Amino acid sequence: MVIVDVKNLVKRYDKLVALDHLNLSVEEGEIFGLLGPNGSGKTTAINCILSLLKYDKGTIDIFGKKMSPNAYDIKKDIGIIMQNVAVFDELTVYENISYFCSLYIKDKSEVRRLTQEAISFVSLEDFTKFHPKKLSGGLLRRLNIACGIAHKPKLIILDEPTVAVDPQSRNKILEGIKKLNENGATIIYTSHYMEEVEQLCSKISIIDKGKVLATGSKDELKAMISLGEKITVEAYDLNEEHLEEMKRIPNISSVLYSNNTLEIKSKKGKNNLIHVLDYLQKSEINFGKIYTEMPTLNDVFLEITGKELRD
Amino acid sequence: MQVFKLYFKLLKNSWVSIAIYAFVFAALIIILSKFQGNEITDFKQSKVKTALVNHDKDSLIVQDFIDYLKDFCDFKDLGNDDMKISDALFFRDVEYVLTIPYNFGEEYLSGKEVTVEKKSVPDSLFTTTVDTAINNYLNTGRSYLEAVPGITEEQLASYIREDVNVKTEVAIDQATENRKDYGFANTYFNFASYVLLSCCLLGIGMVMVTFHNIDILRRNTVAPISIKNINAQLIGGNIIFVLVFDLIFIILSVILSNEKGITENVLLYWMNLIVFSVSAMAMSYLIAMLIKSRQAAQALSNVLPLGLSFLSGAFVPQFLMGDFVLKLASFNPVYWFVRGNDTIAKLNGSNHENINKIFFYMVIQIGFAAALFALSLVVSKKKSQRNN
Repeated sequence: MVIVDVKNLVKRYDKLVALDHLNLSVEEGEIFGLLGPNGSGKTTAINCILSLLKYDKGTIDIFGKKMSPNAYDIKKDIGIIMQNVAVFDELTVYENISYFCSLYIKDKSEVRRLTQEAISFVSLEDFTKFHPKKLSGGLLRRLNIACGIAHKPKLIILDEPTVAVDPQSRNKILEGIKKLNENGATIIYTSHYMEEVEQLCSKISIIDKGKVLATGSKDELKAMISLGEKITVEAYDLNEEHLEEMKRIPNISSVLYSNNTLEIKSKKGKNNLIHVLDYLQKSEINFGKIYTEMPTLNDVFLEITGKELRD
Repeated sequence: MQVFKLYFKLLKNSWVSIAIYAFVFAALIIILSKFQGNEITDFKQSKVKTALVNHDKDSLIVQDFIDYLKDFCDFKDLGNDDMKISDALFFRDVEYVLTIPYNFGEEYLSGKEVTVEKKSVPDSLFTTTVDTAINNYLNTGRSYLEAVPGITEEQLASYIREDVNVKTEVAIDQATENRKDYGFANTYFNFASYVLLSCCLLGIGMVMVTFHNIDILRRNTVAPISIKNINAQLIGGNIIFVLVFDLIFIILSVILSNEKGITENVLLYWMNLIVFSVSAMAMSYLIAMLIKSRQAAQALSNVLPLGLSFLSGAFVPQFLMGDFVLKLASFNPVYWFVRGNDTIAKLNGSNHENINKIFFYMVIQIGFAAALFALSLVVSKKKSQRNN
């Protein structure tokens, strides 16, 4: 079942086209990643999906119904975790979660129960009486998440929830998102951190300049590009002749050498490590560490757009 | 009612600052009330402490004369000792010494020009009362002695008492434009405009700035609750907050005022305060829409009410201020509140000329409130358009 269906979404700010006929389709139970550099239109897309922004053209259906600012029957099943922490500094951790939960749930005892569950979920049991200003950045992010998920929504939208978060808290947040998905929630996750998206998402849309450039699983996306295995070798005393000879090895697409590091890229689906090692030994070239890696989403982005994801 | 409850939780955070304002106000107003005279609405006759030296105790007319003077004098018997009497005058134990000479009654009845002897504290206003009473009695008697030949002593005493006992009701008309002292209630309520506006700006400003934080606003907007509902609950919170403040001011005014009972003036002061608080609320709401931080709310709550109250004559009476300043001040509701209070102060039981003016000033304040609320809606719409 399609949970979120966005068709031909256009959003303009005067002459600037923020979203250019954007299409997204999120299936039930997916962790859907929206990957793109800063300013690519991820947050604008999320704001339009949530009816926080008016859009110029297109349709947005959630749970099979048209989304609008007054679609309260849709909104009650959505949880949102914003890029910026949106909590009341004047309230304690418990009061914040309880307040946001009470906007969705009327029954007081149910609110209490769900608040406790949310606190446990983000491991903030020891901080329930703390005010947000007393919390570290990581704990604050966890509170932000708890406020968004306490009412047990069917669809959770996370807009760059790990920005400026320490690695430990980031791992905790990512684990939590996986757990939410295992518990049955459909997740839309936006980020410009490709590692996170790669690690977390079952389906990914790469977005730039308000357009979806490619959509699929991480393997499907990587399969779209011509790049294959990348071999990096710590090698000494290589000359131009060596490099030219290596370029002639079958399926090698590029050879780069600088600062005693040799970087060899091969074509899609071909493994060349043995051939490269064979050449180095035959040529009596001294080499140290050697490792290979498969193409990343950054390589996908680079090949599609001609620029790095973090440009 | 989640938002409504949250409103008061957020307000709790500004409670200390608001309490400081209220406490300073109460302290200042108590000090003011100690130094300021009470509003005079009637007179009560006081008696002058008088030493009586009577050398004509057998005369009937003298006895009647002394009985008559008892309405004006609190007689003390100090005997006939000159030293003792002088000491009593010096130490203000008595303020007036009345000596009735030997054969005063007989000589008075025979039509001779006789006088009583008096000594009094220099420059004492009270002695005039006794002088007037003495002259009144003796001159009335002389008129009867001349007009009715052969009148007996009893008849004369009876006629004089009949005449001098005639009394007239006097009402004090305080409705004079030039009156300078409007009394405690006026000072209290004028001063209240400053405190009320400060507390409104601080309380409402802080809460509304928090609610208008873009991230909080978005989180509330994506929840299944309409913005109209949220705003209605916030406005409800604002109204309760302001009404509680009004109530505190009213209770404090009752405690601090020396007035007995709730007069028409007091009711008008209360009504004017409640009307003004609507304007103060509207002004705070608009300002909260325009500012972005709690620090700005705090700073504005210090500066703006002080400026507006000063300009409007809350501290310095309006009649001391220049026309240009008053003209400028008339563009804010504090001016009309103060003007209303000053007009209420001029009212009394027998004068209702200004009551229509007072209601007119209240209508102007309501007009300001409506205009400020309308402006808030415009600002809100502009902000929402900008966010889109």
